[in-house]
Amino acid sequence: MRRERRISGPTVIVAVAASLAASYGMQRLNRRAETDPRRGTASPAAESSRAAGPRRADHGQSAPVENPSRVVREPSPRLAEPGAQAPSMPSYEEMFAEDMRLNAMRVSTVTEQLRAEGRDPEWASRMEVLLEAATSELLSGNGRLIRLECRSTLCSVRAEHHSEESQADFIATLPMRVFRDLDGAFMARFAGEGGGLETHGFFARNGHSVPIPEVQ
Amino acid sequence: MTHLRMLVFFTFAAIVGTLAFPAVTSATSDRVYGGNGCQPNFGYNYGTDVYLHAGYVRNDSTSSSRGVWCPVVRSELSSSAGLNTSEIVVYDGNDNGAVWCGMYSYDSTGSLLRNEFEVTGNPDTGRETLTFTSMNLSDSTNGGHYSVYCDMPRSDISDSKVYFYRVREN
Repeated sequence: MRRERRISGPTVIVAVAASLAASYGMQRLNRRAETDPRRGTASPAAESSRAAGPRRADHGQSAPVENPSRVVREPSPRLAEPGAQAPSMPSYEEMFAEDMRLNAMRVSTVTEQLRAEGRDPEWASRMEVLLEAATSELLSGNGRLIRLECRSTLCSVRAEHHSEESQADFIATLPMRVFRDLDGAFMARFAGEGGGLETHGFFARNGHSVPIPEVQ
Repeated sequence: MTHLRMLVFFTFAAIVGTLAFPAVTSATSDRVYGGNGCQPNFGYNYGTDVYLHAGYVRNDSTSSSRGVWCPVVRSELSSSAGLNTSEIVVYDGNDNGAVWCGMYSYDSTGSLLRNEFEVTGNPDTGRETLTFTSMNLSDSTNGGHYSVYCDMPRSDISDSKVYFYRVREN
């Protein structure tokens, strides 16, 4: 005679709870794999973002620009899981030094791109007038314009500042003054040859973007 | 036979669990901030006639536009995927002016890596949503951060306002 075994209620509850916990755990692992650059599996969104080259501030109106170079950096620490001890962040000095190094490379790369462009006399002249008026007003009593140049899709502005505050205002405000005519600013702070505070900024023609190299 | 039934139960429960938990494990931070968290800009378009209220910030000046800086929390420190589409809901109270907002991406040195500006329609007035699509911090180290700036035209038909903004980190 065959004995029929039935699964008890508590057994079902335990089984369901264990499975839910396992499912939750699997999804946490998937999330970690998506966000951790040291793991080989990146999310489709992250992959497509990298493949598309530099992000654009032109609302998708123009074709992607070939990335001139890539900057390699160390993997970033991950955000702590709830209840876990927070991973140590790099010190501010380390971050600052790394970003200064990256910015020097970016400025060099974009400057090469600018120099490789021919000059569109009508557009370049108009943008130089616009940028000169805006920079002169912002730098009045606060610094001086060192160099200003536009070609066919890019403009370069180099300025010196008397104080860190006036430099911060310059970086925040110049893009506001020209955003209706120029897209996607990249403005790097750096120490000038004499140790002074300098900014090297780049702007792109409407429908284009400043081709700053992507960091990986 | 008992083991087979247990296996069926585990499989079924795993499917239920997968369907039940996706929102919990989302890899993005989606946050909404009130406009009353913004502060007057102490540079360009500075003025004391910016008022903070429960639910919004407004420009009370009848002579000049006013700017405010608004905070953005960055919490996805390991992500280099930047921001998903983000939105700022504003009220344009000026027939001849417009509310315009900029989203800024800075690195740890205070250098500006990227920005995007959006403007309300002109001469329309009323509530509008400004949508930002191109912001990311893939070029920054961990000290990188975002800021929002909004410029409200002088009060005309009514005061212009920033109600709230929504920022989604990838």
